[in-house]
Amino acid sequence: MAEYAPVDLTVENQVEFELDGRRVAAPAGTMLADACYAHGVEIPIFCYEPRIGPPIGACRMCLVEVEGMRGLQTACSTPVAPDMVVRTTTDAVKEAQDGVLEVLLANHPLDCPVCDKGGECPLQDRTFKFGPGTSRYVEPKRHQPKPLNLSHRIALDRERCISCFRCVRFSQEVAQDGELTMQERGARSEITTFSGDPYRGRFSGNIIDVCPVGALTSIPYRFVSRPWDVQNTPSVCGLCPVGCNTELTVREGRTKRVTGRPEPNPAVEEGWLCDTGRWAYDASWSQARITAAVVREATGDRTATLEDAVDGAAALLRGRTAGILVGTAATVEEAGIAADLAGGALPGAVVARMGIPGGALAPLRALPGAQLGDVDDADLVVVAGGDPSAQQPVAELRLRKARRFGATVTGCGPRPHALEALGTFIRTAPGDLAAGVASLAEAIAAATRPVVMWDEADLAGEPAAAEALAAAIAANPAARQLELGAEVNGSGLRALGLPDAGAVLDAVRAGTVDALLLVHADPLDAPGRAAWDAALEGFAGPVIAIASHADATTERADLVLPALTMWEQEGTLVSMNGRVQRLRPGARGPEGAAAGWELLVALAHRLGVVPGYRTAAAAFRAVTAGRPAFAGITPEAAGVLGVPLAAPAQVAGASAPPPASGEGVPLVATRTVYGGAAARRSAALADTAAPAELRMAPDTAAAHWVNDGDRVVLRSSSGESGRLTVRVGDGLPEGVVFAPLGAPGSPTEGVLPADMAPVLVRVARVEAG
Amino acid sequence: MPILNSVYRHREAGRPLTELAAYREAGGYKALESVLGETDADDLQYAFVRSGLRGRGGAGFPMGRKASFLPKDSRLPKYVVCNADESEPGTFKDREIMEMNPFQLLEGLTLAGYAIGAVRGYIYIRGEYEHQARVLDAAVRAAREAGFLGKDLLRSGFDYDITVYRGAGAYICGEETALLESLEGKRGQPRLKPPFPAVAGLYGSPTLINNVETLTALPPIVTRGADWYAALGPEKSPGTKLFSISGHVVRPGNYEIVLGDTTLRELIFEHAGGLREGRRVKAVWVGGSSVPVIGEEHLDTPLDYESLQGIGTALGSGGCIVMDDSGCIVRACLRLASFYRHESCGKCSPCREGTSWFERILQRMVDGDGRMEDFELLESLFRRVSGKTLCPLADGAIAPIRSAIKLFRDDFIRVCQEGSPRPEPMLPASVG
Amino acid sequence: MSIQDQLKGFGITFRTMLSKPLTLGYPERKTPVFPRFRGRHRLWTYDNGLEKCVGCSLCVAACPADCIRVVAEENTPQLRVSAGERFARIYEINMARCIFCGYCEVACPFDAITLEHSYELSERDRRELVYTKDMLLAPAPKQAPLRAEGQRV
Repeated sequence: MAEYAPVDLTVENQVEFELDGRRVAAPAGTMLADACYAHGVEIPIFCYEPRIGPPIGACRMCLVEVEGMRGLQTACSTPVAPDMVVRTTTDAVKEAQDGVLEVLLANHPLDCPVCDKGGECPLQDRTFKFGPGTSRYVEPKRHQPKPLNLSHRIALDRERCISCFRCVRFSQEVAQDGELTMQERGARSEITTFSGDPYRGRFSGNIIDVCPVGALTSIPYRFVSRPWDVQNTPSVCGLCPVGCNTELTVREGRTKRVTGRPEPNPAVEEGWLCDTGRWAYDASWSQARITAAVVREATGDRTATLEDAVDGAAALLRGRTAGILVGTAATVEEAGIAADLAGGALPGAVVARMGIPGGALAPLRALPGAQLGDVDDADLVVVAGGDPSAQQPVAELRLRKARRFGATVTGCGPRPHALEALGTFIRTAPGDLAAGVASLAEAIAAATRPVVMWDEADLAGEPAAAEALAAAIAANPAARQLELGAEVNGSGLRALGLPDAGAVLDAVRAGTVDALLLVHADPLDAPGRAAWDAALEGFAGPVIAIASHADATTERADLVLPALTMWEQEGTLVSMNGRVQRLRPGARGPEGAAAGWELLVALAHRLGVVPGYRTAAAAFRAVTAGRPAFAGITPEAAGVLGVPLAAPAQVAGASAPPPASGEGVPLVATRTVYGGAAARRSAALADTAAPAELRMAPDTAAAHWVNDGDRVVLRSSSGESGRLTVRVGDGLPEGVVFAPLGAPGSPTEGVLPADMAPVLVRVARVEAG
Repeated sequence: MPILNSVYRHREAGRPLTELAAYREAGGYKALESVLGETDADDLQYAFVRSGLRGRGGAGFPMGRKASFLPKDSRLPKYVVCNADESEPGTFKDREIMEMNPFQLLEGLTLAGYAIGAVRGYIYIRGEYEHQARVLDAAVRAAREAGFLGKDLLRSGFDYDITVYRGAGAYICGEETALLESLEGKRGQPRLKPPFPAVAGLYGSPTLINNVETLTALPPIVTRGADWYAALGPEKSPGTKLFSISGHVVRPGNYEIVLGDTTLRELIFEHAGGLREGRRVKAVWVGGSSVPVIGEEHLDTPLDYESLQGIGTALGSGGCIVMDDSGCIVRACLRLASFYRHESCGKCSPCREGTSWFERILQRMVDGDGRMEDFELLESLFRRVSGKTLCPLADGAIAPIRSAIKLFRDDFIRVCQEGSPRPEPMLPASVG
Repeated sequence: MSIQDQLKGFGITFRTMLSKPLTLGYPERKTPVFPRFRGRHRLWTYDNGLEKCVGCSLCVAACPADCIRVVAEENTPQLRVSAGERFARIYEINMARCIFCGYCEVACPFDAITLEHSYELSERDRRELVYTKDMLLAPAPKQAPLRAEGQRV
């Protein structure tokens, strides 16, 4: 299990000590419990969790004998010392282990048959391995009413709790949401939130993973299955560009649970997941799921078998010049096969990717890059633009950890956010990020190991700021950049060399393509959608969509091929930091659906070009073969933990977005992983849905003649938004309005250009609040 | 009875010294005046070491040595914390000092601060001591106005102030690291040691923590000299000690004695007026409830650290609880077990679950449902819990019960078989 | 073949003609089983009607033939099926796979499942051999006689 800290036994200058009569060595400062585990001696632990923070020595389970020290020592808090003599199997140690387990079990209800943790419970395992066979406790056990809902998603069974404080420490030290605490004392201690209200947090689900007993369990997973009923599949989360490594728990073909990996990826998420990544899995069988192919005919819609539908798609595409649009969440295989159609099955096709063009970001991306894990040993972490707490959730935890480890955190950006409390943050005017960057340059130059996190969406819209930031990073040879991406597989699509969606849009407008193939692409719900609306209005050719869920684009398509989701299919995703990681199929998809890459292969077959591969791994090799960005990367090399891509060579910057034009008030848009599209499709996350709200300071509201609760639309030179509800809030900067991306119906996307250039909007009230 | 050699000025003066003028009249703040700007901090620390003063809170660790553990070259500010969370059952000596003689405590705390170069002193006073906290607050204000606290004390360039912080009523906050946690505004639970408070204490800074009685003894040590203090009593435990006597004695109260000069019998029968008519001493907890209990046969032991250790108990906090033969020892143990169960902070498992298990077993015994195997069970639990916990609270819970079972096994066996009837309410006369 | 050999052969025939026949008139007469005989499973309820099974799936874990499927659900005040917090919404045993080892009975922490004496389990369709919870809760439709003390068949 990952409860022990990984120990690198290959470093120089290790400390030699004696462990149960063996001479062994470990790096200085390693705690005994970890060092012993690395040498194959398991010392039982409950409260120790090195990822949470320093040991607290509360459970007393890890007592060992150290020669020359009075009494037994807690192995979790005793660092190895030269020539220390450690004994872990003496009678005194055995007695202590028996004693601690006996008292822990004295009031533990032992309702293992009905407990969700049963079968994967550290308390159970360690009792079997280290505990006494019987209990001498004859007194009645302490009973509490059965589970309380700590939140909508977490059940708390107080009588099972062994007060290890892991959850409380996670809340206080790792997530730093300050929600959980222990109330009462002694044997009556119990976990609760400070206010008694449900646990509100962005990372609350992790307390289920760290709980060593069944005190904290997931409500959506409650009584769903036992560990021997399921298969666990290591995979990757495809809901945001961070690329957290996950483990899918699958029973009878369905994903029943997503947890952090027991062997976490230290370079990415370190085992922590955000609540969206953890509980969004039931979106895979939500109402919006497309379970059968849809053929749209003059007489109405009809469903078709997959065979017929692929035949139909091939018939529609045959002889036409297609525009192929690949969505940002499409895997490398899907995008690669789609791109290769242009040279084979669909000659002359124009292939492009959705997402931010970001031509101005090339110099930044060419600088030495860091992985999220590298933030731990930075002495300065700069956050340029963005809001990691909303857009790249787990990056927030890494940032907080860096702060805990003593790094200085600073940054700039146009929007207020939760992480500003970690250090000095400069609030820049919208469109003037360059000023903020300029004031950070000195700090970057002075630091010894700085890591500069920069927000893709914010900097793509402000080429001057991107240029200044690249110069500031380049000025310090020790500095590394870390992209806070906006798109799930944006890095992968760029590495495949796909141009931005403008290429297809122009072709549609110019009429040079007469069919559209959309691969997980939804241009009608993305920034720049106004242009697409207009272009598709006059488009006469067939539109074929490969999609897993119904959205604005599948409504418009003439034929919809149902695809698998990230929980069901094989594939490769490249994280925002260029880490190539593999999706592994956990669940089975609906009967009538197939993996996107298989649909594309089938389509190529029907169109008369037979691709030479039949597996996702072979497809990966084939599509990356001619692409230098993927040189040396194979599915085997990606393994379980993934490998980073080499930094891209700097290419000539593409056209930079024009400065904000038009008139009105600047709009700052923020992507939301919490309450975004995936979260909305999930029943478990129903209460987190991000409302379509336009937030602004009271003076700004007054200046635009709107009040709290009014329904408004925004208009910019790029188009018109859907309806948004005005929320007037104190503490917001004046003269700016804030709106979320990914809210229901994608209202904000309508006013934004595809390149995320800053926009000015006019606020028009359509309905009083 | 006149008190000789008293180090506590209110006892010497025979009246409360809650006014600064009265305290100065009784010789107060002479020590601070003589030290500030005149004596080097290290010399002062050395004087504390030479005096042989041992911590009066319970553990009896030499005060001067404790002060010398603080790093000299720390970049962090240093603090002195006065442990006034006097929660040990049967102990009420600090209460008297704070109530009657607050300025001597402030002076002592200031001297300790000067000796280690601290920037601030804290008095962590137990929540139930409301009146005493008010007295201290008033004293701090008066001292500040008179220039004995604040910036540039007595124009010596030494800045020092004192904050009185009230606890919220938890026995565990008398444990030094739990006290620090509570003082920092967190849940009062002991910290893992090392690091010790001398290295990383309050807010992670080097911190000296001492009991009220210890700090209050500092001014006389300065004015009369360390050698004078060291000459009082035996070599290893010099000085005087306040004993709080309670229980079945005619005159319960605080008595100051020179360590080693007085026996337990003298303390009970001469100072505290003996027992009620026709009663014999059955059990005595000499140093608060957390020390092993002793019986009548040890009454002639002199009261000092070493002698008491020699008979298997400890001087502890000096809260001497006397029980005569009218009481039931099993019931007394149950009461103590309940106290420790209630006060266990719940951080470490053996103490959290162990103390409540002890209570349940003893409750069963008192109810007459005890089993012979319970003795073996209790002994095994004591062995499994003691010394394996994060702080000494569980050891304090075990010591009195374990020793009582050893000493009064027959009583326990009888109670196991017959139960222990509820005692008659005590007559008012018995509290003297 | 000599005459002796023929006589020897017929000797067996004649001898056997005189002894009692070994065949049984099944299905009119059913072979009685020993008390420890492990036959068709039965799920039990308490006297108050609540099911003993809490859907813990330990029988599934114990089953070497992988023939049990349990899908649990939570009891609610409106729908209380078992005495514990959870109950088995689906409890199926595939009798075609079952090897009647009795491990499920041993594994059960609530004595909710036992192997009874009924052994007449043939069906015309294999799918009918998947016994549902309702079938297992009811007594076996075809009971087998129990062998009396010292009885020989």
